[in-house]
Amino acid sequence: MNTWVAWARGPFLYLAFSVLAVGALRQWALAIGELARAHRMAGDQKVPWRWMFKKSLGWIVPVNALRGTRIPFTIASAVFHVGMLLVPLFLAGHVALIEKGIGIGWPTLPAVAADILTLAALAGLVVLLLYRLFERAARFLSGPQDYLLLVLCITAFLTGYFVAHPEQSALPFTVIYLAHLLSAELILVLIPFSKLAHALLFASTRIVWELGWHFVPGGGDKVRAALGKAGEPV
Amino acid sequence: MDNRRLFLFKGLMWILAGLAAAVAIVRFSLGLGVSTALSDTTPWGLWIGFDVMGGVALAAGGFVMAAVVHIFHRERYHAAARPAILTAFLGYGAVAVGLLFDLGLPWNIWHATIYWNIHSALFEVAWCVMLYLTVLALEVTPTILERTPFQRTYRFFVKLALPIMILGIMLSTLHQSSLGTMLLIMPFRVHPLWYSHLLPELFFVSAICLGIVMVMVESTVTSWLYKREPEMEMLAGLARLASIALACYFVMKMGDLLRQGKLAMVFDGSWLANLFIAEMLLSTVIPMVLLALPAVRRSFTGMWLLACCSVLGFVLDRINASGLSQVWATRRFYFPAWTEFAISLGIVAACVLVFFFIQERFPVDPHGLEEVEAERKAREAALPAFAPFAQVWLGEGWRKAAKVYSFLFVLALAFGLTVAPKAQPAVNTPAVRAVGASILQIGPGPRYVYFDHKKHQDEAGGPKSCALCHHLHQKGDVGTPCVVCHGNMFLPTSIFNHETHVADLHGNASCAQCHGKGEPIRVTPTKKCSQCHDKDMMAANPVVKTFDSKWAPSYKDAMHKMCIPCHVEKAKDAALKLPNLGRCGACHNSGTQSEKAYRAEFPVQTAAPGRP
Repeated sequence: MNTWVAWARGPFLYLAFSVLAVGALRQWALAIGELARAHRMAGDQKVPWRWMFKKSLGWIVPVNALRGTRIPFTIASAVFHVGMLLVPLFLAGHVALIEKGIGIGWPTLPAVAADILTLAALAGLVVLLLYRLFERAARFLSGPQDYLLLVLCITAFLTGYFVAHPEQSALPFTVIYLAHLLSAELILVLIPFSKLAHALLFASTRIVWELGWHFVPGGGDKVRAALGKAGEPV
Repeated sequence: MDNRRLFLFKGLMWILAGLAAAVAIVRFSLGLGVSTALSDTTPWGLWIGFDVMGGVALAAGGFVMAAVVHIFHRERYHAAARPAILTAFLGYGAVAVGLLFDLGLPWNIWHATIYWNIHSALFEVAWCVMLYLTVLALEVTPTILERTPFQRTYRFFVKLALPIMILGIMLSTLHQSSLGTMLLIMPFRVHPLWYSHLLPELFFVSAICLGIVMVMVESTVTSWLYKREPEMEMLAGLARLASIALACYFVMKMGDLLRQGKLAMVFDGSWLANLFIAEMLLSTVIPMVLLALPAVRRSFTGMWLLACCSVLGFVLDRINASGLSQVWATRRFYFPAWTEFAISLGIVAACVLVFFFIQERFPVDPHGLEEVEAERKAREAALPAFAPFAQVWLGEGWRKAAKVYSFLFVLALAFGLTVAPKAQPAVNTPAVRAVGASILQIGPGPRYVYFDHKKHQDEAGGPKSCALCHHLHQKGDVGTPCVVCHGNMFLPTSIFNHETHVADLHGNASCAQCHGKGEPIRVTPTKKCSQCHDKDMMAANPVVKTFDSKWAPSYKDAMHKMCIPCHVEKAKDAALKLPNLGRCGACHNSGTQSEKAYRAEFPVQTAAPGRP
């Protein structure tokens, strides 16, 4: 078991970060291509850059979505994301490991705050999972990936909590520790290649979306032709 | 992408390229020591043998086909000319890239253009590669321009084509043989089975053979990948040509061995002799005999296999001549590190990908463009397909290719970064105690520096000057040997013995004598060595500096720093008339002066190990 832990802390950690780094570069390169394409597709229409950036940034603030029908979903998502951003980056244990590895450290969260954030993120994740399972529209839109990624995040946070509080756990520490390492590393590896890529692309996807829905002039005719309904009214 | 075979093949190429990219990062950031199994004794490894020597030979198809089609007007081979020239261009590009990897200071690669050393065989090689690469670029240009709006430029290049072709063939003649010339100047390294005064000619003839079989491989592989009808008539013609050329090569090689009286060596059972037999069977004998049979020339698989076999054999020949056959002389085992294989394969993969890229966009082969166009039309009619797990639409055509292939590339790159070596393994190269008064042996190999002790003593001022160089006398020594402290050839040696110091200074109570009272105990003590040992060391002089470090410089650094400044100074002295004194060869002249001195001093040991 200790060999596996050493392996997960050594080569596999290196692999996870390399995949994340190189994969992120790939995603950004592709994103630039997509942006250029979306811009080209917008044709001769005037692109409202200012309005678009404002709108894109607006989506980051969860308060704007606190109306309508999916308020619990918005809150759960926001709580989870706060935990997801703060705990992995500012937990004292993580920062100590990073400092040991590359020699750079930064201020850390107090242990109590980290615990609260972890539990809150876990609660948020559970709500998100229940929402996906029992809300009609969400269930129809979800594929295996959506469930698997949620389960993976839950595993990482849950095992992380028990690594910090081994006395509360029924399983041996090494097992929990290995599970935490592997699930967290799997998340790092999957970030560039799954829907987790929104962590890298949240800035550009919205812009592509805002740009891309402007169809090319005469695009409707092409759609009709492609569907074999040329000349018919839409 | 509808062609699954082509897709998988390209995917494999991208994976190889990704792995090579990772190794390239290591090679250019951490150097050759980390990324290769090369050493000072074996400085030419896989990259020179395969990428440079093999690459040049593999590119021979360009000049052979140019000669066959444009000089001898064998029009039925016309379809093979453009792919062959494109391959030659990419092959030479690969040679240049491979060379960049292998050069210790790759940023100096342009030096041969400015600093001319007309006595160097490598100088000729460098110029031939540069000129022929330029010529090949000019030969490829019409293909690129043919279907572009730049028709005037295109017509200009078409007019230029013939003289350029002739120039290209001339340069190839020079260059293929000059790679043989390069080996000609190392008779003590290359094994007698490969060494011959006819090496340049043999290299040239074998390049012609390899050129023909390489065009066959290219044609068969392309038609297999793109699922085209193979051009059997052309292939059969090439096979016949190859058989004749191989027969010429075989006669020449065997005749040469016979002339030198080395034929018996082929069957002496040593592993190099067996390697020679394997190489000859693969490259020449088997393809020559079988391709002469009309039945084989009617079979696509037969021709493909035999051409591959021959290519493999000739590449082995280049690797043997430039590397493996020298193991015999150096007696140092060398097997390429996996990183070296990764780079070699990655360069080939990158070339193959560029070949596909150009082939699918420019009229290299008239069928190519038609196929691409047909595929595009078929794709437009089809419904969009979703990626299996991610459930996203990847786009079509090159957008899909960009996403899929970059995915494979990135994964291979990250994997390569993880497994690539990150630090140089500490190689212990113990320095050897200097022997005699006129010869210094360097390292364990047959390498010497001629050193006239008496002359140096006289120059420096007689018996009183010993301390100028012999700066340390241990108890009972008259001039402690250099290797006692400078124990490693290339790495600094720790000369501080903590145990002895603790014992001599009476145990734990003495820590503060060196580490300072009330200070944390560190590896670096507060007290300097010279504060106690001043009387043991000679005072600093122009030749030897005293030191305050527990690290003695490597043997190489110690000697170089002691000898070079003085030599350079004396070389400037016009009255001495020794302008070459400051050059490396003044001391490192193994084979001549130092060899003689060594033999004179140690007559029992007749010669350096491994010399004929």
